[in-house]
Order: sequence, then structure tokens, then C-alpha cells
Amino acid sequence: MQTISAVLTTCNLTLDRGGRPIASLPDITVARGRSVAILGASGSGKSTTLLALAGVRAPAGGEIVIEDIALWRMPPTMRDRLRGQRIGLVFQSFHLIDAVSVASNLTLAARCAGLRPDHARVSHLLGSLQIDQLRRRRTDRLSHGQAQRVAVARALFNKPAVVLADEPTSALDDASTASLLALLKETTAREGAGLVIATHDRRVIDAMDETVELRPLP
Amino acid sequence: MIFVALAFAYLRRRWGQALLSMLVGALGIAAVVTAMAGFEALPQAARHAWGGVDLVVGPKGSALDLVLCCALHVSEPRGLISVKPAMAALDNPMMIRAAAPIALGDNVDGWRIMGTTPAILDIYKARIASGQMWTDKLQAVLGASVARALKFKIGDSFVGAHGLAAGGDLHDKFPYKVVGVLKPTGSVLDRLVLTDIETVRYIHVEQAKVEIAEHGSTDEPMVTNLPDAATAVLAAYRIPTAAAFMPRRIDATEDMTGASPTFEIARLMGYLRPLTVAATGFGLLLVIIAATGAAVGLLATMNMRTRDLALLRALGASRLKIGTVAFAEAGIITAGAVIVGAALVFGMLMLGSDVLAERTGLLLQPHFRPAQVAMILGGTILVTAVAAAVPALRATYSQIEELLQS
Repeated sequence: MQTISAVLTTCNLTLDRGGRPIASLPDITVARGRSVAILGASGSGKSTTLLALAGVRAPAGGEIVIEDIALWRMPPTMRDRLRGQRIGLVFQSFHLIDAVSVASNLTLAARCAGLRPDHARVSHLLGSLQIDQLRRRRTDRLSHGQAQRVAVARALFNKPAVVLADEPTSALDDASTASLLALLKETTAREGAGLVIATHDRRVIDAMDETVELRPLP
Repeated sequence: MIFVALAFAYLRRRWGQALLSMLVGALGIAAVVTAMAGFEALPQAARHAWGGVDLVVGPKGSALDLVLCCALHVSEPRGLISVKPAMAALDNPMMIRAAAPIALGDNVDGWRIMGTTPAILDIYKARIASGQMWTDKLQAVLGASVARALKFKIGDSFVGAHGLAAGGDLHDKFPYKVVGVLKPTGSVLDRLVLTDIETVRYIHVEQAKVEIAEHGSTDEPMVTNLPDAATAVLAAYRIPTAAAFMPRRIDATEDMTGASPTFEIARLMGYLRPLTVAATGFGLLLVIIAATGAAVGLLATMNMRTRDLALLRALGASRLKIGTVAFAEAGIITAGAVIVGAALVFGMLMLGSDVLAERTGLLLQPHFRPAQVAMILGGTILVTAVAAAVPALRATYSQIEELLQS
């Protein structure tokens, strides 16, 4: 049941690979400041699910609603723009653009979404993530932990309704995992966004408000 | 704008490859433009150089040689003719406006001394700037460039040397006196020292006498045997239709050739056309290699940047914005190539003009017609578009998920 504060809901979502159904996702509702983990083994379709939630890859069936807008009923151009403005993405390998600075990585996210970059927000976000001193540094000169924080800052820069993170803890030790999850939860909650993490890492479960498991289809 | 800035940032990260693509492109552009400019400017420079000379009458032989020697003054004379029959053949006031014999053979510091008659001024439509025409033997009137280069003034004296290049035996017993300087004509006349044709004959006959007295023979039997010898006779037509009759009439004689500079230079350029086509083709080949190099480089870069482009798409960038990055990158390389290429063309034409002017007196004044400029720019833009289109299309029409997972 969709509530007024829900930023992401799914209904009867099924995913396919090469036209063959591979998994279904139990219906989820993500509210502002809340976090959901989508669990599944490697190759079970977690990334495919996340790409569907991000409006990148069409699901085989079902509905995805972002703030009352049915994502896959929109024209592709509008869906691209909605993704840029209302969905924040954190990739497993961060995918920062290493030709430009940390600050430019953030402002580029706004430009891609057709927004004017808010430079005060660059300072605010980098400051809140304690990496303001890195704003002029090129991203290929960052440590793993610094790059992780920049990726989170970029995902939040356009004040998204929901942040989607793909296997963010897969290569991390326990301490780093706990630190990253805390960072993601705190910052998304502070920014009033929902958080969805696709993972096979069971260490994530305890940190999240809700967990759903992908159901493989025969 | 930020996407153009991003293209700049990518270029900065691989500046070596970008610089190489730019230089190869610049060389290609420079080669094409120089070939195009040279092909047009060279005949034009030649036309300026021969001034009002419509016909050169000389000894039997190559008409082109005659033009190169006596109209353009870039080669050696091949023989002598007798002036009287030549002038008789040109005695047609309906068709010939002016005719003057010329005698070559000496120089002063590499500047040719040309014995002639005052009618030469009518042929070149030249005027005296200072002083006067000669009134006696061993008086000289200088072309404007010669006067400027040798810094001779009216009343100065100089000694001619044998041959048409500097360094020959000096005729030091026969000093010339400068009596006049011509106004600039833009023709080869500016680079000549004029004197009475009788002076040239006098010096060479006297020189021959000395040689015979000293060695029993002379290098110049023709001068002594032919009292009215000249290298050639130059003529200017009164009416254009004279071009159809006069050369033929001269050629019909037993010992004279009539050469039209216009016709001979056109023929020469016809011979040279394969060379200029080859040069242009080579330039085009360089441009194609440059474009291919730039395209391959760009493609390789785009491949390396697949994730970046996918990321931009994932962040909501439209396909247009993705394409902008590729086109901006190719455009920056091309713009650099055009600027460097233009500088190279300017340098090559300046240097080439100076060398040509120094060696031959031909003044290259290259200029480009709007159609040529449009063709060069259009071609460059087309090559840029093709070079950028492949990676841009690949980046914009691939699935984001494939790119992200690549």
C-alpha cells in the first residue's frame, strides 16, 4: 500500500535476462529516511533489479513508482531526466570521472540532470562527509575510502528521492562495511531520501530497516 | 558548456595523443592549401613578371626556353639572332604596339644587365622615376629593385661582370654610369639594369678583341660575326588577335622562333599539373590519415571512456549531451589543426615567396577565393564530423547497462 511519504514502491516486479524470466521481487515500499536491502545470491538478478528500479533496464513485468510517477510508463527522455533528478546511484566501483575534480564530479551530476549546480551544496555535502579539503583533487588521486564518500556525495547532490546502491560492501572488511553503511544511512536520512541496497552480503541485513529476498523463477 | 569543459579535461589527460593528431591534421591542411595556393599564384606571378611582353622572338629552338630566358629572366640564353630581320618580321603597326631588341650576357652583383632600346619602356609601360634614359654608351638605367638593393644613385659608377650570375670576369675597363632609375612596375624590369644595346655589343666586341689579342681566340665569335646580334626581340601587341598571327609568322621564318609567354607558361603549368595534383593528393592523403588517426584515437579514447559515458547517461544526460562531448573533443583537435595548419601555410608561403623572389624574381601573391576557403573549411568540418560520429553514435545508442558492465 503506497503511503504519502513513499518515495519508491514496486508491485509484482519480475526481471528477465535475454527474454527469460529469472527472478521476482516481493513488493517493497521505501519511505523517506528508510532503508531496504534486496538480497540475492551472485547472478540472481540483483543488479538487473537495481537497473530496473533506476529506470535503466525495463523489467519483464510489474510496476515501479517513484514519488507517484510510474517509471516505465514515461517516455525515455523524461525517464532519463527523472533518473538524474530523483534517483541517486552508488556503484560498486564508484564510477567517478577521473579527468575532473571531486567538485566537478558533483556539479556534472547536476548538469547531466538538466539542473543548475548549487555550489553551496557542493561545500555542504563535502563538508558533511568530511572531504571538503578534497574538492579540487582529481578523483584518480583519491583513496578507496575517499572515493566512496565522493560517490555518496554525488548520489545525493541532486537531492534525490531515493538512493540505489549496488553491492557497495562487496570488497570491504567488517569495519569498512559498518562505516559505509552508517555513512549511507545517515546521509540519506539527513537528506530525506530513501535507500535501497542490492547485495549478497548478509552483514548488510542488520543495518537496514527492511530486507527482501529476490525469488528465483523456474 | 560543462560538457565542452569535460572534453577539454579529457584532452588534457591525453595531451600527447591529441597533439599528435593535431599536428598530423595541420600538416595535411597545410599541404592541401599550399598546393592549391601555389597552383594559382605561380602563373599569376609569372604574368606579373613578364609585364607587357606578348611575344619573344629568338633563335630557332625551344619556345619555352625563350620565354624563361627573355621574358621571365630565369634561365640562360640559348643563342643570338640578327635584329634587322626580326624587327622586319615585326614591322606591322596594326598588330604590334612596340618592339625592342634585348641583349643579355652580363650582370652586376647577380642583377642582369640588359642592352635594349628606349622602346622597352613602351612594352613594360615603365616610367623614369629619377634621372633620364641613356644618351650615350656605358650609361645605365636601373630597375627599381636593383636600385634599392645596390643602393646606387644617379651618377654612381659600377662595373659589369661576364655571365648572368654573380662571380664572372669583370669588364673593369668598361665602367657604367647610372643616369636614371625606373619607377617600380611589378614586373621583371624592376630587377634589370638597362643600357643601350650598343653598349653591350661594344663591351663584348672590345672584350673579344682583347681575348683574340691575348689568346688567339674568343668565346664570343657570334658577337663579332653578327654586327646587329641580340638575344631576342620583345614585342607588345596592339590588338589581341595578333596572338593568332604573329608567332606563326615568326615561326615560318628559317632561323627565328616566336614564343608567347601566355601560351608557354600555360603549357608549362599543364606539364606541372600532374605534380600539383600529386601534391594536392598527397595533402589529401595526409588529411585522411590525420582524420583516421584522430578518429581511431578518439574511438580508443571513447572505448576507454565507455564507463564514463554510461555514467553520464545513468546520471540523466541526454544522448545529445553525450554526443557533445565526442564532437567537442574532435572539434577542439580540428580547430587546433586548422590554426597550426594556417600558421604553417603562412610560414611556407612567406618563406617560399621569399626564396622564389630571390631566385627567380617571381613575386608570389597567393590569395584564396571564398569558394576555396569554403571547400577547405567544409572538408575539414566533414572529416571532423565523421571522426566524431562513430564513437558518438556508439556511445549514445548503446545500452547503458552494457556500458556500465563493460
